[in-house]
Amino acid sequence: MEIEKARIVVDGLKEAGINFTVGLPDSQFHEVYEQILQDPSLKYVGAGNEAEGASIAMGAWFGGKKPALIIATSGLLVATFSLARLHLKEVPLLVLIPYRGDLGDPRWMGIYKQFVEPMLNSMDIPYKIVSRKDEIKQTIADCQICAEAWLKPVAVLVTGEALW
Amino acid sequence: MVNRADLISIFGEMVNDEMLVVTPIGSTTPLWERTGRGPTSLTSVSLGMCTPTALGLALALPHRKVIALDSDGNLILNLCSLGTVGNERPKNLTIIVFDNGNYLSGGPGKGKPGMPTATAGNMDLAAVGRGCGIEKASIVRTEAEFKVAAEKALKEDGPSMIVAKIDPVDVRQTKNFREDRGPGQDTRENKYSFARHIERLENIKILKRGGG
Ligand SMILES: [Mg+2]
Repeated sequence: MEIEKARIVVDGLKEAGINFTVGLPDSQFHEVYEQILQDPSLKYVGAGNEAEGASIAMGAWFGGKKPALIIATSGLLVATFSLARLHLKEVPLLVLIPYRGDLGDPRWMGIYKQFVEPMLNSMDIPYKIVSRKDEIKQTIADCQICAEAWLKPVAVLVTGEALW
Repeated sequence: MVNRADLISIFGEMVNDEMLVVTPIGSTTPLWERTGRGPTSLTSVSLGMCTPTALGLALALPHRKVIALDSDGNLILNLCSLGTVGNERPKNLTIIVFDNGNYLSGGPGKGKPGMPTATAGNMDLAAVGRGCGIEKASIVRTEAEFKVAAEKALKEDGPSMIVAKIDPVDVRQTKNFREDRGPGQDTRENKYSFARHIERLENIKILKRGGG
């Protein structure tokens, strides 16, 4: 991915007020992770799996942080149990995902798309799919505002098309 | 061997409201609530989430002591969290693991141990902790050993980990689901009381006026 586009994603997180990030890398977002790691204002914690990551983010929220969980599409499936518990506790969390299985995916991962959107719907996790570069920042900001207002996880799925 | 209830009441005497405690689902939460610290702790944190939640809290509030009262089955589910702790090395985090070697302590309401965890076999959680970079990780088998280790952990810089080998069964008679489950908070009330506690301690705002 182009550095400039990674910059947009990272700036979007910062402008949304995110100050604590937890994740497991996805190749689609490699440059995003690299930039986050170099930015102390986004304190990055690398977790061993996405369910652990969601729990770390929950703890950080109780400590007054505005956390984001940045994970792969497949990782969302691993995180489901922890996210369900955050939901039960009504803890806000921005979940940012480079979305596989949509336009721009260099390798067809459509199988994930088949699971992910029905799963987000059934878990009552609102989500927005971003397929235009110009919409990345605003969508991250809007979803963070809604996560805080609604007290639940809200997901931003950024397709390969937006990252082209 | 020692039992969970005794160690929890000993530990309840050692902490104060300036310290933040996270407890998992299972029998640890109701026992911890008996110390009177339930509303100022984060309780009934679900499977695999206790230590990682405490880690997030410890990283967010690095000046404040945070303690996870974890258990073997819970911790093993997200064992990788020890690696994350070992890499982040928060000085203010202590992980206490009540290791009874089985799942569903007390058995399914019959006063028997549940199915064995890996620690009933060959797994040594303190060795795993050390291997993950948590140098101050030890096993305790008596109340006296527990007291010494816990005092040290609360006083010194961490991260530290205490694996307390406890009786396989906590309570001889587990309450039937239909019976009165006793006093305590549900998970949402606890969320609010714990967040309000941190707001008071830290003089920060976590909760906002709701829109509902
Ligand atoms: Mg156990």
